[in-house]
Amino acid sequence: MNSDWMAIQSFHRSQELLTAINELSIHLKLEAAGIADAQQTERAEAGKKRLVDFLRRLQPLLETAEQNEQEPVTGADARLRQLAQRLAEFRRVSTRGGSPLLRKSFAKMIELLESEKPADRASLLLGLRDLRRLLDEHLETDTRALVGGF
Amino acid sequence: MQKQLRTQNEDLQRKVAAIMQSIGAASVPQQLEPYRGWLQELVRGLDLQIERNLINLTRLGVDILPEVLDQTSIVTREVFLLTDRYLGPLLRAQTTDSLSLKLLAWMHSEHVKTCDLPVAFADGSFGSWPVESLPTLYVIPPGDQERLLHLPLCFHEFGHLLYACHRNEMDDLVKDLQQVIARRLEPVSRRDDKQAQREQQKRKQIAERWYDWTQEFFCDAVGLAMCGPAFAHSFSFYFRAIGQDAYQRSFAEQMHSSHPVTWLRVRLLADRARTMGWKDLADEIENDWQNIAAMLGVNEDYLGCYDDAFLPDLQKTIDDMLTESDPRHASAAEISFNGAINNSVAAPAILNFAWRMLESESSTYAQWEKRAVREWMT
Repeated sequence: MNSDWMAIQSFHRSQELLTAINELSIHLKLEAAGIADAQQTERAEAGKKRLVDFLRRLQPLLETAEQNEQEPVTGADARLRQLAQRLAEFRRVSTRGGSPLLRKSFAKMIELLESEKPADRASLLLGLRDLRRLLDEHLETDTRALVGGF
Repeated sequence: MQKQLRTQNEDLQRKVAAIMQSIGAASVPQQLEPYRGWLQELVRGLDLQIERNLINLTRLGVDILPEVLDQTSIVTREVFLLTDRYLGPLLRAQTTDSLSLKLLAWMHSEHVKTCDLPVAFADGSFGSWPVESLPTLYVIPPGDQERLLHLPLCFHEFGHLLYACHRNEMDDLVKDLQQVIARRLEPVSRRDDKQAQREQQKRKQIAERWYDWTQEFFCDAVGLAMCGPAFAHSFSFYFRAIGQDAYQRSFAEQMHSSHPVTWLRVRLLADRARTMGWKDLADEIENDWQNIAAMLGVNEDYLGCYDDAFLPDLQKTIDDMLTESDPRHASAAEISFNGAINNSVAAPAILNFAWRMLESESSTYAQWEKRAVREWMT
């Protein structure tokens, strides 16, 4: 019995999250430029909810990975554990100039996502950019497993 | 960059249109129509995304090129996946797919969370792509697609789908079990040296690996519950002669595998079969594996990755997962069915009948199977 099931689930999760990031990010940039697009706003709201749900799910895994490397990360599949560990690594080595995702408490990123304040927009965009980079990298492994290398 | 992205998206648009045409033109068995409908919906969604990418490329004065590039990559990967995996089962469909499709469609129809999910299957070793929001793509070896004996293994794959459909609750249950296992692995006293650190690292690896293993044990339990003894027969028969790897693996091999050692899975299946009142079946499969292991000169040893002390907690967790996911259970009448086969006979009935026929009259089994399949399909 093969174990593709793990790769396909991880692939879809990352694709959905990346879509959510991009829809929200496009919306924030259009909003900042004063361009109204009701459909884009709707997609961005759905994306925001998806991201908040996911980050809440990731938070305890990240905390375990950051607080004690020797402790097992439980209740998550191997790919999600790897993502949490990779993010913990990113946060350890990031410079002071990194986004809120990397340099502040993880809860801050969730706060930013839920914030309606225009003043938080720039920080949120930086956080989304870093999350996109992390997921793009993470997704490569699943894509290779499913459709091979190029 | 804008121009490159425009060309890229226009090409994707042409590709997607060609795919849509192929999907529409394919001649497929009736059971694949829901799958065709889903594929068409998916392709329409991709086309809309490409359209949005092209619109976004016309927005001047807003720097959204990184997002459009990423959205273009997302569509490109979806198209790769579509052409590499999802299209084949539709475009290469044959009339001989009907038996496997009937079984898969029956499985899905018997659960409230899966009854609306279309199914399809591809060639390969038994497997599946279970995502709760997408049709399930099963993988069945070509040699087993038109025969009854190993189709019960599809019920294990259905277990993965049930897990995906109840992920949050299942993950919580598995997390509790992993923590119990991690505690059981703890030494009575701890040293503070390199060796102790290595041991701690091994314990961490084992506890984490049990996430995937618990799901596999759960899927075996789903197979046994839904299909009855036929699942245990099929599982044991299919894997027992594969070679030493099914009986024993090094610590490193176990840690690299998302599946527990198969012999351990047989042990747990037998344990569960006994609790379901199938003692003879449990003894039979355990003896079969023991005999082959003895011939191979292999002792049962999971090198610290499993201990009998885990068993009560493990089986309790699996019981809770079965309660949570609520798969259909094969009835006593289906398990002992030996009546006339017709189109409306439930899948577990014909599969259990097949295994009893093989065991009692193996020389005429092939003829019986051919007739039974024909009668079930008409």
